[in-house]
Amino acid sequence: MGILVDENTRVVVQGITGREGSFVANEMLRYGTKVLAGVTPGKGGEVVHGVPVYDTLKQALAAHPTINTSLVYVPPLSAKDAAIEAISNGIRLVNIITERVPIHDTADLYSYAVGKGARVVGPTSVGILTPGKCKLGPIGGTNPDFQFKPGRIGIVSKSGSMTSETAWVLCQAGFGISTALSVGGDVIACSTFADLLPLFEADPDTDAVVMFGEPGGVYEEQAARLVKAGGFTKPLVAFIAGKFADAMPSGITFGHAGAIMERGLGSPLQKVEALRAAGVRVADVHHEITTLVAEALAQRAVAV
Amino acid sequence: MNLYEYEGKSLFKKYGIRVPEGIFINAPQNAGNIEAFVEEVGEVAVKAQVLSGKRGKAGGVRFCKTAEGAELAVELLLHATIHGSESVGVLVEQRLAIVGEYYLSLTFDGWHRAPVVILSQQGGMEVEELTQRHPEKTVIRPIDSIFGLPEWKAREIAAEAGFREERMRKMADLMVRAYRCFRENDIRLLEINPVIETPKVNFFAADAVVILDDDAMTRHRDFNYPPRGGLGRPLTERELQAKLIDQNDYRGVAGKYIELDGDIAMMSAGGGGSITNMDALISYGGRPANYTEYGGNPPAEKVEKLTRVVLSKPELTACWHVGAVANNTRVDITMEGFIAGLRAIRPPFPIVVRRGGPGWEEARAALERAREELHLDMTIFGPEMPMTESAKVVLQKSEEYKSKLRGLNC
Repeated sequence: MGILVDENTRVVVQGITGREGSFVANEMLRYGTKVLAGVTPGKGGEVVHGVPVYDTLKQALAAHPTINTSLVYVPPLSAKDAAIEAISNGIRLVNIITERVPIHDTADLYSYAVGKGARVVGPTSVGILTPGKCKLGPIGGTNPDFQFKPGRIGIVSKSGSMTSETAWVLCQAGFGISTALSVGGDVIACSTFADLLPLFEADPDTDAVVMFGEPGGVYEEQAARLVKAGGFTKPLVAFIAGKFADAMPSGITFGHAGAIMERGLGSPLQKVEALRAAGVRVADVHHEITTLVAEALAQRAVAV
Repeated sequence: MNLYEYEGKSLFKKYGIRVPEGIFINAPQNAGNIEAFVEEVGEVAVKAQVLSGKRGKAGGVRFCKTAEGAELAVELLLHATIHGSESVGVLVEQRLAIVGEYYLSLTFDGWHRAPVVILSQQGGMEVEELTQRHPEKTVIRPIDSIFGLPEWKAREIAAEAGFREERMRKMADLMVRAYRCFRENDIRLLEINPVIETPKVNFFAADAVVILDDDAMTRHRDFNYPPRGGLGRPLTERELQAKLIDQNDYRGVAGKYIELDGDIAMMSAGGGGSITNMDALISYGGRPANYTEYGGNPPAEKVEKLTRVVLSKPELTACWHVGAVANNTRVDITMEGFIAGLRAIRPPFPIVVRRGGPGWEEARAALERAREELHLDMTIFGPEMPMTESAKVVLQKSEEYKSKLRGLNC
């Protein structure tokens, strides 16, 4: 089963005629993802890798009424417009791959999505992948089977490249993946760890989740609060990158967060502390997550 | 991009936010009108224009009652170094009579995932201190980004923060103007600390902290702010060279380079991967010579330029070229750039590569050929080696190289 995407996912790619958009549409088709249509204003009537292109999302939906998911692959200043176009046409899941979306635009579209009850993942997401069922976005590149074997561990990460690296390390250790996704490292992420953990909690095919956090913001702290409040009860293993930054000269931002430290929160060490206090296992070095996952599953098996 | 106070204030003026009368001076030959200015306005504050905070405590602000005093202060502060950054000029401002000091800022907040306004009766201190020490005097309210900040809402916030009557009305007006400025200029942080109240109950922005959203610069072609470091210290020569890499070339990113004082050169790919690997290296006892993160499928030339910058730092003992198994970055192309850089520099110290992703097998073969051709001590790992585990190999190699050097010196 997994979360968010599966064999029932029907995709429209907004920005399909762009260099990256068409490349990724092709990768998705090769994986077996059902990409039914593309949208690029002004390029209606073209065909990209066998996928028909429309001028508007409304036209795409009229021709392919089963579309339920949009992948946004448009330039940064158009991302807000594209996402709102999708939501206002009734699309319930929008995944924004575009990086460097202005924060005022993200705030607007997040506010709009909440009002409409739509789920947006991103901006700066690398996509969502449920092994063997659906690859949405560039996640896993041209050869996702290499890093993402089917299995029962969920992955949610701020970083795109570390989503795949985390999956790779887990699969090397004999685990498999239920669903992996990256939520992006922007100050406003339209979906956060705390938004997604309840979906993994409800997913019968996920036994444990690995989360990858970064400096800045409060989303790791929110996840810790959720766990503490009993909102996520499955084993959770975390890695928080950027601990070194605490020891670096102030005023330098590392990683893509560029986030403002908020009210005494946001530093990696505080995130680690908050998560550990909530009972989450936190790896000191990234590749140690596999040992912690194994430990957590063994302990749960004993408890059950 | 952070704005200097004088830039922030001139932006404020366009929105009808009151700021003290002032003149900006960036060179001694432009300082001629100080006398007339002091004569006109009376006591002045002379303020060094630097981006670091806590400028006052570091001696960057002088109050002067006479033209001579002001001229001396201008001379002193014109190119003063405050907390490691050189002043770009001075702002000479009228010193206003003050009956109250308040705090106002607009920023984004992860709890609400929205813009927030922070308003407090308690001005002058840092916001962290404010919210910790005087939470009851500090109002933090989210703003619906689509709807904006209407006047009625601004009045509610001002009233909640304890402003009454005329003060309430005027503070609400200031907030509405500040929000328009924040929104229309794609500002990530707009802070006025303190807002000062004069005896006639007018509010003035006594300081201005403005951080523009770099991601929105392309829709503000009219902005004309000169480039600046923002590291809290001047850029090093190599940092300046690195900055040029991404100029006028938007394919991928390879120009983020921050010099540190260690001896292991980092060529790291991906934002998340780069910080993960820095952690790993440091936790095993290594000292990175720099921070970098390249990604987004940059062309080979960009990676070559970055390689030359990273490897040109003196007294390196190893280079770690490390990245996650890439999703879409063409590893064969980026490694081609790395090899071109190696060919130019021919490093005597050991190199450890760990990478994977599209084109990795071709990249590995090219690296092996380069190793032979250039007689390099290069260890090459693909995805079979966990990324962070290869940190241990780098450290071992670096130690070997150091003892070899020590042997030569004996």
